[in-house]
Amino acid sequence: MNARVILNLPRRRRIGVTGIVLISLLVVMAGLAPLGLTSPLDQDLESRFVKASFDHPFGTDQFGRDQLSRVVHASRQSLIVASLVAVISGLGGGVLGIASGYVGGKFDLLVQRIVDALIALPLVVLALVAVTAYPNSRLAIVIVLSIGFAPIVVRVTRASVLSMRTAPFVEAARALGTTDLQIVVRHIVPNVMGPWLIVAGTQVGVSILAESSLSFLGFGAPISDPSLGSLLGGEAQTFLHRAPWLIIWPGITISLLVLSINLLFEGFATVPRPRHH
Amino acid sequence: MNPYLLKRLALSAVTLWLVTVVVFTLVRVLPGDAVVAASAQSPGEGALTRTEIDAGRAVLGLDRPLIVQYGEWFWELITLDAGDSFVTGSSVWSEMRPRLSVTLELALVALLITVVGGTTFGILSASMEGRKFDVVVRSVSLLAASIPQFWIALLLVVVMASWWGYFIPVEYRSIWDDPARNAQQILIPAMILAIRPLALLTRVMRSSSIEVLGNDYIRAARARGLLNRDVLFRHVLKNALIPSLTVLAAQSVFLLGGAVVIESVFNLPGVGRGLVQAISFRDYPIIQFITLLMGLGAVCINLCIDLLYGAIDPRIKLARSDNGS
Amino acid sequence: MRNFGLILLSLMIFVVLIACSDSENSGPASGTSGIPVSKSSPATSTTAPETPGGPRYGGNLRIAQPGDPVSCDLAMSRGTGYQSVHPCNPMLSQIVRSSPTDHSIITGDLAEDWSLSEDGRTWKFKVRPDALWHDGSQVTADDLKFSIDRVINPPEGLFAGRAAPIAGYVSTTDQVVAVSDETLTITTDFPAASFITNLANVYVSVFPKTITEQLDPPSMILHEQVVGSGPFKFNSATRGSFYEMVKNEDYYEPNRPYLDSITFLVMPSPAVRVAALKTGEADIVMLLTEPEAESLAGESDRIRLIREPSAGGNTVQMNLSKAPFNDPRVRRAVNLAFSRSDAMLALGGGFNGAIMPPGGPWALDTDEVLTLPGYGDDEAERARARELLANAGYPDGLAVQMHTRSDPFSTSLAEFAVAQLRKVGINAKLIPLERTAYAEFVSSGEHTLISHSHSFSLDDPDAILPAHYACGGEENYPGLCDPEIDRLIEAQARELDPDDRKKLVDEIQRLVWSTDAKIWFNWSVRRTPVSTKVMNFNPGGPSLYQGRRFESVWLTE
Repeated sequence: MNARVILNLPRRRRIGVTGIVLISLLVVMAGLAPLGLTSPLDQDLESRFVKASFDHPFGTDQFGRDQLSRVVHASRQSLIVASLVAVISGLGGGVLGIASGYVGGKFDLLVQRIVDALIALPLVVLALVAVTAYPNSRLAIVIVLSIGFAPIVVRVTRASVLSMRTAPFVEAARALGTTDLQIVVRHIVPNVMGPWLIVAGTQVGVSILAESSLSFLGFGAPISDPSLGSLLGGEAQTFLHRAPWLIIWPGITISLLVLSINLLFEGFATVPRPRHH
Repeated sequence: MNPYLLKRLALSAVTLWLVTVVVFTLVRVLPGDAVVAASAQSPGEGALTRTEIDAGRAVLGLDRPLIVQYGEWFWELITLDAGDSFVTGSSVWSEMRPRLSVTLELALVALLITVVGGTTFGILSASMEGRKFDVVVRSVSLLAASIPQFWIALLLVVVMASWWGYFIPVEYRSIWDDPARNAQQILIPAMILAIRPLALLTRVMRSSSIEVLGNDYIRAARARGLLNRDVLFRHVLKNALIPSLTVLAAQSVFLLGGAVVIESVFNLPGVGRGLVQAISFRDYPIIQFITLLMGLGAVCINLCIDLLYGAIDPRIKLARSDNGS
Repeated sequence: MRNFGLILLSLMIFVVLIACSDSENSGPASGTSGIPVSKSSPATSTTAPETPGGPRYGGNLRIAQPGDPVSCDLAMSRGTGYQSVHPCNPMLSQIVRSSPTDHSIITGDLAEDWSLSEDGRTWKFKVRPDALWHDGSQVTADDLKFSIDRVINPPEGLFAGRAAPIAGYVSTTDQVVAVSDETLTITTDFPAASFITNLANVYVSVFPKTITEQLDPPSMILHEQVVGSGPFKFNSATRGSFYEMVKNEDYYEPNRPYLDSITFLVMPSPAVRVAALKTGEADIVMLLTEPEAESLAGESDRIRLIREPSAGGNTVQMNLSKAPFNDPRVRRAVNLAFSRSDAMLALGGGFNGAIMPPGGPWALDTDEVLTLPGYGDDEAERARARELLANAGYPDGLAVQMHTRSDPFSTSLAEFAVAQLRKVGINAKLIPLERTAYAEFVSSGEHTLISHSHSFSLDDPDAILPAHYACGGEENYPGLCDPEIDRLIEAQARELDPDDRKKLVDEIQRLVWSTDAKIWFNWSVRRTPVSTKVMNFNPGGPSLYQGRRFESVWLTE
């Protein structure tokens, strides 16, 4: 996939456009969080459990904290975590997948065993252990989720490379005396980009969901800097009957975030991929 | 025996062994142990002194060198004995067997819903590409894949209770003891658990079917009335099988993870909750057992899928991944 | 803001009312030695239900709680919290117990009568002849001795948890003698005012000697292992789902229990528990926050809500051996930073108290409590706190870490504490630790500032003071080690005159409060929602850790 395809993409696919618009809106919203909103940690005990008002459009929680401000700040945290996971697992997994597929042999065997073991190791266990051992650490969650999602990226990129290694254009390049590195950079990488981008991109959405599940179980992000999952995972559940808005808004926000990311990559996925046959 | 199969089996064994080592180390990285955990269960009181903790550790055998502990566990595993729970003292297998049947049933029902629903919606949607039904299926499936499961589950329980006064009966009964009650207890959670894989499978089925239907020779054959419905269906299924299997394999591994939260909301006594509890109690034998079991499941699923790929399309030797996942 | 003075006032009136009702009912029938030996026969201790038609037999009582019982061997502390006490207690009996209707009265249980020797040390218990274990065998003095012995000298790998105060009175098993099948004597090391109170603790339940000894470890951990002598017998259980017990036809109290069965339901999610209550799937839910209680207001025709003071509350605690909290000025500033009225507002109620549970017999006089540092005018106290911090060398405030348990309730509480501290310039970074990690962390002594809630199993000075405030006490997280406090704690245990003992306890309260080490900023309310069809149920007693046996509870439908 080259730059022109990406640039042309929105015009071709309305879905992608919707995704981009939505995600940009959400990102801008999350980015502008500090402006104009009260701090998400400011307690105002005079206005606990306000349902929805002009001052507090999303209502307030048990300490009178503004829920809108909390949701906006939390969205930013969730996005940061998810993007980091996508970047780390995407880059790490991509490099490993290409290397493993292209080099082959013993190296490939070793990488595949590690990947197998990582897939076999339940992500839940890894996450619970890491978050318990390193509390209050956003990094621990990022690393665990990256380790959890990298194997898929490795597999996808490796499979694409394998299908290409013996392709005529690669053979031709090799016959012309092109070095391996050049082949990888010029021929393999551009062709792996498409599937890689999609698989790494969808990890953003999956990470947001995974992080919120962990928070639900009480193994989530730092409480002083809550993510969307922590908003759902804390005492808010206890207050579901009394103050349902504390659960409803973060849930809707998670869904919207993930949906817009999915839309965006749905847009990518439906663009015809360049193929060499 | 097939040498390829033999090699794969051997490699799977190596993978599983790696998992045992990693898990054994991981659980011991957790701060505190079963003795401290036991004293920490009731908030407020119950702290133990250092000597008491040491005595407790000695009883559980936690004071021995790690390599000895690992050796013992590994030897027990080989002799098909997973040891005893640190908390209840009863054997891990007797603790986990009932939980396992709950989670397996939940996962299987969810898988069934996924496969039946995904195939139906996917193919129907493809055959009506661009029409209203297709648009609805695509939008709903995109949305469904974006909603946190536990959130929708929680809201559902509360809405059912507040609006219709319905509450899923709590006391778990197995399908053999009381099928009607078991169905009430399993169906709704399984449906929630199936939402995401169902959405993904629908999309994969849809795009595979469109690919087949858009194929020139199929179009030509259809135009001449040479293809009847069954043949077409077989073509579509065959084309969709590999990507679908890939999605399903990836999702069945995630099903177990999802089961943890779904079991909590729907009060199901499954493996997922057992795992969370075991981690909180530092019940090493249970954590190790569940992890190994989940690992075994993942290895088996991957192995089966790979072998199936080979059976379906002999040209494929290695896992091909699709973009739908 | 000042509107809440009203709330405060009403809460205080509530406390006073409870305190009064206590003193009316308990009627200290003090014996010659001054040790309260108040008792009433079990048959009359249960008030008759005041509904026309009288009690009804039959029915299944359903109770929801968040988790599984960990161990039914309540005496041995393998994590036996309230989730173990409640589902196990209906199957068990004790030597003596606190009356189900009034916890301050101690009545006979397996011992139908008892007496105390002239020197105030030897207790003689007469074991009732009609008590049977669930397997049909006779309960004998041997079983009672066995059950006390293991608290004094626990089997390998087991620890006496909340039953441990008994070992503080009886140091060797030789002091517990089964004179005959019907007679047990226990000789305490010294004449102890609170011995019988601590013996009435649910955690000192009695187990059958021969059956228990056959188990490995010798401990009825699992629900299905329990062979007790209580009003209900084990029937069936699925871990993670439910625990069911059925009526014991051979229960020694005549015509009891009324219920056919009790089922404890395990429901981890609080929202789901409330939903179960609303739909009638559960009749009783064990713990509730105030907002949850408020959400039940519309259901008042079907759900009765019982609010009562809980023998527990919320604290922040500072490690006395670590800077900056080794400086008493900083600790005082922390104490002053907390507005008790803010706490009541934020936590949905509470009580004012010193270090013994308000509303209970040992509470410091309410008027005096309000003069303690921390109970003054909020703004004045905060100004004073900033001044103290400046004097201590922190004019621009101070940054510290605060650790707490990572469960939603504890973290939420700690978030409130952090916000209060911020008002005087103390910036606490909140670090929630998973339950066991927290226990490990705190026991290592690494902590500087923790937010911690306590819940006592007994409202008794011997059960509370040594563990929390004596040098080396296991709940003494600040590391208090004051010889004067230790001396007073010893002295009050030996003081037989109730009034003099109360004075000593009051003195300890003042002394401990002045250290500002363990700061109680809110004493809790316990809320128990009960379906209106449940009759004669009294969650009774201040402690969540004293279960109910439900033998006198009945259902209208």
